[in-house]
Amino acid sequence: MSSLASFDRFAVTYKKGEMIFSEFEPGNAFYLIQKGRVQITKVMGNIEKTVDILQPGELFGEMAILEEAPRSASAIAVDEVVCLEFNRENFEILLTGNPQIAMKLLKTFVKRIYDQRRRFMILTLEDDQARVADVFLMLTEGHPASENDGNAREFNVTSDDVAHWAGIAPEKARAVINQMASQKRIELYPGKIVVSNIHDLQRLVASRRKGDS
Amino acid sequence: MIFELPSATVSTGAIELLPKTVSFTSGSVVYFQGDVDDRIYILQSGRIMLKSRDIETGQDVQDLIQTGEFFGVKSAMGHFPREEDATALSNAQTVAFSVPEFETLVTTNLRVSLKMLKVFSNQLRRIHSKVSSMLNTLDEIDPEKGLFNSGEFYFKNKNFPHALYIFKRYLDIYPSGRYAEQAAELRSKSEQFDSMKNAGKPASAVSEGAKGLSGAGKVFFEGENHLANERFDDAIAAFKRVLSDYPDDSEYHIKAEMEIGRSLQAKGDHPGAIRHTSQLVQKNPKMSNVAEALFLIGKSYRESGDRAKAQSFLKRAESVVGDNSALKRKIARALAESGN
Repeated sequence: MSSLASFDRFAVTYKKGEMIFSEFEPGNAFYLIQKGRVQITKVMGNIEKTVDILQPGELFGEMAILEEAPRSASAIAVDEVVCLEFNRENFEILLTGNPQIAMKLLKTFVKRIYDQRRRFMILTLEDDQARVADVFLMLTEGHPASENDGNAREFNVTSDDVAHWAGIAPEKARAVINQMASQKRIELYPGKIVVSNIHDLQRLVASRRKGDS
Repeated sequence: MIFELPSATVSTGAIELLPKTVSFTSGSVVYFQGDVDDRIYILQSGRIMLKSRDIETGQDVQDLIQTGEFFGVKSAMGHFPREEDATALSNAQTVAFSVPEFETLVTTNLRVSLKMLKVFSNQLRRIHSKVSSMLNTLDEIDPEKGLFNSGEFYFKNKNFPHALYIFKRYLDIYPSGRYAEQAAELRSKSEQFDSMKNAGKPASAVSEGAKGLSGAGKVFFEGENHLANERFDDAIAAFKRVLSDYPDDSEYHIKAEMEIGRSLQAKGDHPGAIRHTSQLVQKNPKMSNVAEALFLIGKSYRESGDRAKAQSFLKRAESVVGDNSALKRKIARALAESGN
C-alpha cells in the first residue's frame, strides 16, 4: 500500500464497530481499505446478516461511481479501519496516480457482473423448485467439490438465504425446501442443508431452462 | 469496447515476446462458449462475430466485433467459462494478451482503463437493474423506509451507535420525511442510551455526551434503558431513586415522575398509571409536558375500557398540546380510536 502514500489526504479513519455507511443511504463515495477489516451486512427481517468480511486492499461501495443509488448493504468497521475515500470528483486524480486501482475496480466489476448474471439466470426460471435447485447449483460453482465428496454437497445456508437468492417469499421457499426434503433430494440440518445428489439438481434445472434443447 | 491500440505497447519493439499476433482464417473458431482460457483479444483486422444466448429470452444474440475492440475480457479476467462463441467471418488478425499483459496495458494507459471502466460499469448497471426489476414485486422497499427500518432494527437490538448514525443520516437526507418525527425521537434516545452505556465504562471510554450527565441523569437513563428493555420494575426503581437520591435536581424530577407513569402503563398497571400521573399533573399544573401526561392518562383510561374518561382526557390533552405535532397526531389518532 506504500504506493498510495500520496493519497493520504483521502484517508478516513473509523473506530472499531463504527458504521461507515448504512444500507439504503444514498452512496456517493467508494472506499479502498488500507488497514483493518470491514464487515458488509444486511438487515433481513429480524436478523442482521453478514454478507462479507473485507480485508485490506479490497474495495467496497464501488457501485457509487456509477450513480448515487441507495447502498445495497451496510459497511461496518470490524477493527480500527483506515480507508481511502473516493468520489466521482477525485476519481480521475486517483486513477492517474494509481492505475492499479483501475485494475482492481475492473476485476471487481467483472466479478459483480458475473454474479448478477448468474443471479438473473435463477430468476428467469419460472418454477420455484427449479429456482431453489439453481440456487444450490450457483453456490456449488463458487466452491468446487473435493474428490471424496461424491455427489453430495453441503451448504451452510438457511431457507431464508435460499429464498433471498431465489427471489421467492421465505414461506414459499420453506415449503419448496420441505418438499425437496420429502423427495430425499436434500436433507435439512440446523443452519445447514445437504444436497444428496448435485447432478440430480443439475438435470432438474436444465429441463426447466428456457431455450435449452 | 473500442480502443485505439496504443502502438508503443503492443508493437514488437516494446514488448518482445508477448502479446502475440494471432490470425484466424474465415470460418474458424476463436473460442467456444464454455471454454476456459485466459486470453484477451483485440481485433486488428477482419470480421469476428460473437454469438451468445440472451439470458432473459433464451434467444441467440449476435455481435460483430469492431476493429480495435477487445473481446473475451470478462471471462479471462474472472476465470469464468466463455459466455459466447467467437467465430471469424473473414480472415482476421488479432492480438492476444494474457491477463498479466492486459493488466500492464490497462495500468499504463489511463484512457484505456477509464473507457473499460465505463463499459463495465454500464454492463453492471444494466444487469443490476434487470435483477432488481425481476425482484421488484417481492421486496420493493423504498430507500426512505428502508433506511428508517434499519435504524429501528439497530435501536431495538440496542446497537445505539449504529441507530444514532442512521437516524442522523435519515434526518440529513429527509429532513421533512415521512418518519422524520419518529427518527428525531429515536435519534435523541439513541444518543442518550449510547452516552449512558459509555458512562458505565472506564473513564477513557466516556464520550463527550456522558461527561455532561449529572448523577441524576445517569440514574434516569438507567431507568430509560430498563424501560426500553421492558424491565418495568427495575425502571420504576431507578426513577424513584432519581427522586429520593437527588432531591435538588429539579430537571430530572418531573421527567422521572412522568417515566414512572409510563412504566406503570407499559407494565399494564393502568389504575396505577392513572393515579400516579393525575397526582403529578395536580401538583405541577404548569409543567411543560402536561399534554403528554394528559395523553398518558387518557390512553390508560382507554386501555381500562373507560371510553368516556379517555375521550375527556384526550380532548384536554389536545387543547394544550401546542406545536408538538408528533404528540398532536398521536392524540388525534387515539381520539379517533377511542371514539369508535
